[in-house]
Amino acid sequence: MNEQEHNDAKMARWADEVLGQLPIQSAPATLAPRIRAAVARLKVLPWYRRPWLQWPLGWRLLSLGLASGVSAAMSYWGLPAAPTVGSPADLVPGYHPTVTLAGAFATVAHGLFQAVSHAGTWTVAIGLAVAGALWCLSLGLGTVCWRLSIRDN
Amino acid sequence: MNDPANFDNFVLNYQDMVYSTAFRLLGNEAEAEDVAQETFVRAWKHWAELGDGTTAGGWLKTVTRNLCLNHLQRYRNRWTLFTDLRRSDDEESAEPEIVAPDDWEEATLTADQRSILNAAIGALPKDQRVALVLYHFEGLDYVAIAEQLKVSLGKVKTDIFRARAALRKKLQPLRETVGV
Repeated sequence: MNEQEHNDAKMARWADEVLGQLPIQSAPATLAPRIRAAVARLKVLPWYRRPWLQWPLGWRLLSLGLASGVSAAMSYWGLPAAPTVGSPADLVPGYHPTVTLAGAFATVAHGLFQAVSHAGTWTVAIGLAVAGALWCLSLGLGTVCWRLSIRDN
Repeated sequence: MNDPANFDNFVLNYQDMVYSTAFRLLGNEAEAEDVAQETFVRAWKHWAELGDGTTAGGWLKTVTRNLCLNHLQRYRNRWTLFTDLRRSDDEESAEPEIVAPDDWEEATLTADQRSILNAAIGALPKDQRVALVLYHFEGLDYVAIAEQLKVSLGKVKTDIFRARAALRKKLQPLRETVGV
């Protein structure tokens, strides 16, 4: 053990001895009433808004059985196909939908790519710089607000 | 024990321990009270699992410590966003030359000294205070503290060493006058 480690060990023993003599701090008198009030607020919550472990036993068993049954059914029969909502075929006579979701994404991506390639490198760079500057600005403003709000700390 | 009617007694039995842990780690009465309240609310949510109470003390200490460290981490992440980035190199610097207490004799602290020591702990820089409390009050070793705080082992050792030195310096004048 070198001198520094020896020194450190002695300081540690000293601190252990001294700090060990400090009694625990008494909680303020306001703490227990605050806890009671917080717990009372929780108690009036309906059972379904509490953590699952605090649900009545019957509901816990029922929900467990239901979830297991649904999982098993979905595994066995497979997921049902989602119905089309608001399909253009319902609105436009003679319209036959042929675009798949993947195709729609591909079209949008292609359109963006075309727009970027026609806009030129400088336009893209300026756009990215503006977006970056706005991001930094919002981060900076957020930090300033945070510091002002916790200045007392 | 885990009858809901006993929760009030449970709070009264453990509130000092929970608050004390939170206060030493956070160094702020209002934040310590908030953390203590949150700890007991979580205890109430897990009341059925706390069993016969034999492990409740340890559970409460762990939850309190984790809540405090999360609080400090969140605060540090936001606060040091722009200002403290340059400090990292300074913090890794060599330990200060402090002479160890060769002649420290076992002695009981007076009430005044305990009060000064408590104030001195509260006045320590946050990093030093947290590391010191985790080591000397929570019983964690250097490696565990470094993992908990997500800092280097060297920084933990330096912080604790500096904290002890600062406390010793605070007690030194009294020690000379009182003879402790």
